Amino acid sequence: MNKALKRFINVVVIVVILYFIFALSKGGDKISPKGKVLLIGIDAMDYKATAKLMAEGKLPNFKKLAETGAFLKLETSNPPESPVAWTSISTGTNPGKHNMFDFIIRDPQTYLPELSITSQKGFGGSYASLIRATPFWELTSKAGIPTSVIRWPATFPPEKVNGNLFSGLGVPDIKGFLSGYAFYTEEDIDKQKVIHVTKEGSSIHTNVLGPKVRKFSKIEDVKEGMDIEITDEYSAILTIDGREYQLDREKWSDWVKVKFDAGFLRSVHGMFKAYLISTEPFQMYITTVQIDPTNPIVDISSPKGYAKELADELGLYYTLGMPEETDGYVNGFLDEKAFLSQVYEIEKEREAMFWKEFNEFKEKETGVLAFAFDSSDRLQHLFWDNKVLTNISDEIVMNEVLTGYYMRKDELLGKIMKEVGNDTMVLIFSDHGFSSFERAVNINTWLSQNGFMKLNTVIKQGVEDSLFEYVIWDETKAYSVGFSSIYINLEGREKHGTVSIDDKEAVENEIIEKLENLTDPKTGRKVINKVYRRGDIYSGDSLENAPDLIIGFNPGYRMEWQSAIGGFTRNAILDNTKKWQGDHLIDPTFVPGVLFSNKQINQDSASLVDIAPTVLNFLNISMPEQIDGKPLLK
Amino acid sequence: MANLKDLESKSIFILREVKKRFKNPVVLWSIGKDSTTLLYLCRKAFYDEIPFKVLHIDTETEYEETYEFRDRIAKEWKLDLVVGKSEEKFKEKTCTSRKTEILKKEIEKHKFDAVIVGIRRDENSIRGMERYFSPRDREFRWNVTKEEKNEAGIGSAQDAELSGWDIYATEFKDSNHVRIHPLLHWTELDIWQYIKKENIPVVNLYFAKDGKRFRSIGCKCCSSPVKSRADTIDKIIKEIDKDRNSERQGRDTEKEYNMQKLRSLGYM
Repeated sequence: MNKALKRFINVVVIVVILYFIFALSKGGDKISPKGKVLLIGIDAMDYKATAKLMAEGKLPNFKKLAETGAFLKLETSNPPESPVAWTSISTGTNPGKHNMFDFIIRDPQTYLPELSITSQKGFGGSYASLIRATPFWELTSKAGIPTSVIRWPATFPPEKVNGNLFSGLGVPDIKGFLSGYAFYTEEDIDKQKVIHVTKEGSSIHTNVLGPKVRKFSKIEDVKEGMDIEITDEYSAILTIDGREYQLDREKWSDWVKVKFDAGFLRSVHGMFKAYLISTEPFQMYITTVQIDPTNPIVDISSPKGYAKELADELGLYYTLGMPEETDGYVNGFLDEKAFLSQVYEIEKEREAMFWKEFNEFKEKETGVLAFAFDSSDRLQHLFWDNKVLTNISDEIVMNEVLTGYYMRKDELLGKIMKEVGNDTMVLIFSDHGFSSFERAVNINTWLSQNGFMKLNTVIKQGVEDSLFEYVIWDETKAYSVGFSSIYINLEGREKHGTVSIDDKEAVENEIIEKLENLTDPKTGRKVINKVYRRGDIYSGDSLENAPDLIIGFNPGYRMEWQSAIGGFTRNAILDNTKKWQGDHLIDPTFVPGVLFSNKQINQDSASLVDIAPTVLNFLNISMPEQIDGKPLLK
Repeated sequence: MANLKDLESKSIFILREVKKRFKNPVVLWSIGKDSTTLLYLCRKAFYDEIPFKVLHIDTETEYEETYEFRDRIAKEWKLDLVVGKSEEKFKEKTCTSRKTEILKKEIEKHKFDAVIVGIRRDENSIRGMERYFSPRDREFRWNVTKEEKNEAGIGSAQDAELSGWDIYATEFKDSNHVRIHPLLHWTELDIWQYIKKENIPVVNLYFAKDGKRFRSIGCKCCSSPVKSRADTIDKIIKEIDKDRNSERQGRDTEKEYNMQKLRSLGYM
């Protein structure tokens, strides 16, 4: 080969290499992405209920979508808890990869329960997401596609996308909590969150409780003074920080802004709404004090300024992750009218946010808009009145409140579909369905009654909030935290582990066998459908963080609340007498969600983990290896 | 207990970043133990000469010992001390709002672009996400635009404040000044242990006299002494440590806080 030819070949090789480097650096996915994806999640939209209301002609727009596109049963996650399910949707992976296993998890070194959606290391510690898998919005953002994610559960703290992200379930209030109302009254009521006030003539001076601060060995609430002047039987004026707000009986007030002085250069900006119940005796309810979006103490959106942009354009709005005042309603401080009118306000705000984002989305050539509505979940927890343990009929009845909500979403869908073009794939889905909660099961009590856990006291009625205080760990083989999780007290993992790795399976087998045969003495029914071993249902790098056993309750049964946080009841199974009468924390096979699409899907059912790959596939983005699901549109 | 060396290096790294990135920073010195430790760290970071002005916001109602200590240390440490006092028209206001007014005035007057403050994360439940570098507007509000989108439309990765990697966003649009918190990761106990290790001078009000001592120093109207027999640093450390670990502490405070937090999930 002569020199000239060699040189020519070298040049060609270099040019080819440079071309490839250039092409790759642009990113295969980045070259003119086409198509748009609109994802609307409606938390807990139930498959059976939806099918029934569609058949009754109450959801014409959903029906039309089902006929022209697709309507499928959507297999939910195990367990069917919102943080787990929504994360499986966003990442296309099972919990063994994404690391969300339950609302409540534990630290094996202290056995103390903690929240998985607002994870914070100790008092005042940093917030950090526990999610270990990549959500689709990170991939679409990297591919240069405009991507907005609004109110998606378990997205706090907010992460950066190529657009706007506003965190959903998990956004705390100004104390760092997930909720916290206050009830002001002249009466003597000795209950938590009740603040006693006295009238002087027609005036009341009281306080709003703000953030918690450490004062040496104590943790105290910062207080801000508030004055209320009763003007007549039906109204009052609330004054705070020199600003006046009108209170009308049985109506929610405007947003009341409050600045807490937590020391020099330490002010915390909050806001709340007040509901004047009566003036004689004086009774007033205030919502959880929320982070003020115009001056947030922690980031709740990305970019950070987006929270303020929303407020500037739409007015102040609920920022709390779970803003519905369910606790106030369950504890009897808010009546149905007050509670429902608050939920409708939240829905109205949420819809306004939707249209703001949608109007930008629809003008784009390519883009992703992922939007979550979740009052549906809270309403069904409180108003789902289909009893399964006392009613043998399989047919469900949807009362006015719930039917009304589903119809409202149908109306919204009708408006949206009028504006959606052929280039847009629309997926409407829920994370899980719904069932009834009639009997509460305290698995920790059961473990102690069956020799798996040793207590240093006899549990009497009314033992609460113990955080495992009465457990003798050196004589305990297993414990339960959260709504479906059992952990073996394993040597080398738990601080006072007693079960060796060799004996683990035998202990698990014993628990599984006994729990799967557990019968409710009151109903004669089996309490649990199946107890799953983590290795049988999960796989991935986060498997070691998973609970060892996952309980799949039968419909009608659910984990007792105290058990979820390491507390005990005298009997293992008891009646649920609370207004919180519906639930979905049962075996996933009983509570599938829904999936609607404007594109045809030739399958009868799909799984939550199929949504992310379907989105990526539609937008021509290569699928990361982690994904467990499959694209639904071929 | 956190490793004091690590705590120190992190704070010093931040202080050196401040020197590099800002034209005219100021350190706030309340004369208390935290901000005195902060000054000490500044000296360590810059070999005994603090390259920033030091601002004492004087409400004119401090204890005599505080003023004596201030003047002595200012001389010994050769501080470029600015003493900010309240204008007559604000004298009637609460001391917190007076302090805010003084700070605003001094920022305006000296054109400070960065204010270094000795706050700690463990003081406040919601401060978990407070940043080391935090931009403020003229009214001291935190919400200042700061992201410039890059080509891909994604804001700078620095915005995430990757403290594990020592990456901090320091450039902010539209901000009046940036507030910097180099002690964010310290606890009260860490501070005392460091004071002991490094032999940092503190105002003697912290040490018990007639069965009482101050646990924080401030103006006369806001701070009052607590019952204590701790008249040496060792005794103070022992007292705080005991306080944090005592049965009562565990049950009544952090536990109660955790309990309330768990219950706030609802799901009842």
